[in-house]
Amino acid sequence: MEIKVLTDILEANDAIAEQNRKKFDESNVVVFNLIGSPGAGKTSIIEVAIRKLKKKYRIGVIEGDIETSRDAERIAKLGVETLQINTQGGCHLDANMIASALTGFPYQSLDLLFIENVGNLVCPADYALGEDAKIVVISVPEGHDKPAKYPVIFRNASLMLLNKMDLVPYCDFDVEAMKQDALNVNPDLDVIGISCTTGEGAEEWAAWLTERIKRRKSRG
Amino acid sequence: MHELSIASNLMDIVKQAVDGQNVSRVTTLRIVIGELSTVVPDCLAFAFEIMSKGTVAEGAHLDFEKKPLIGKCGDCGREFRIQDFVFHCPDCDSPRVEILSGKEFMLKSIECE
Ligand SMILES: Nc1nc2c(ncn2[C@@H]2O[C@H](COP(=O)(O)OP(=O)(O)OP(=O)(O)O)[C@@H](O)[C@H]2O)c(=O)[nH]1
Ligand SMILES: [Mg+2]
Ligand SMILES: [Zn+2]
Repeated sequence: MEIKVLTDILEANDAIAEQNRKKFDESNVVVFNLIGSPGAGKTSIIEVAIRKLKKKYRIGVIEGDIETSRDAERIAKLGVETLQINTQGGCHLDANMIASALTGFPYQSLDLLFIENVGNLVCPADYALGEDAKIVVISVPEGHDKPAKYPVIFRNASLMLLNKMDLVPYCDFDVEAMKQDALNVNPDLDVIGISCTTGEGAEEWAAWLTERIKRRKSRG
Repeated sequence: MHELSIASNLMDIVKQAVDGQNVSRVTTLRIVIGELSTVVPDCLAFAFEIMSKGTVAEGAHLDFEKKPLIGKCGDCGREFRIQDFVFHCPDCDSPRVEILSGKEFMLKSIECE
């Protein structure tokens, strides 16, 4: 006997993500899901944004990590709302982890919420959390072949932050070729080159976020 | 890799589908998987084997129907196979490409006894 099912296998996650999204929408908070390899600079990039924008906007951060709370401690030092989620070995955050985290987290009073996903370019790409947009963080030492090797995350992201631009002179890295490859996968992708050590691109990164926050506020 | 958590989703969907259906054994799961999915079929099959022990789906075979990545040009209307994840029309070079197939990850049907 055959039973027709026709059910999306990630449907359970997507349904919870949709509920999260509703909550964020009702509170007018803009949410970004940061995805990148271990050490690409996700936490550093959030720190740059906080330093630039914390006087103007209320910012919060949810840190996804396999075991430790080091990133959350780094962020908390900057005086913004921070929450740690440990995935206990899990390779990605899922919508349910965010839903549980929200019960004890004052997201309602925020303008901007960053979710730092577990360091991984593959698995987090499939899991919606309820975010407005995914941001993919790639760093120069990783090499410029990433869009061809991990197309899904580049396809699903709205912004690519190319971090550690200060290291371009020391690496065999073709910035233009990398951008072109990323745009081949996703023509709508915004691209910003940034360096958390020299401050290059920080202004542009802050402007990109500000634009998103303003767009949300004007929508009401 | 998160194939274990996917196997657990799959198990939930199967249980729901056979609920009240007078099924003694699930023999095959027909899964449609697009080229753009990050799931690795062999890993999922292995994870499902573990996950289904002692359930109605123990020993069930996972049958994967792979869907190629097909796009449709938003400008000239051409339908084409997207090669190497380059989302550009091979005719007019337009970047406005709609994905017609290749994103699927779905349990289509199950065979049972
Ligand atoms: N040279 C250079 N180093 C950087 C830059 N940004 C971050 N780093 C360094 O890269 C290392 C990793 O940065 P993190 O911000 O912790 O990276 P992450 O992606 O959050 O790492 P995980 O959370 O462990 O996955 C740290 O030693 C940073 O100081 C940069 O722009 N240039
Ligand atoms: Mg980090
Ligand atoms: Zn065309």
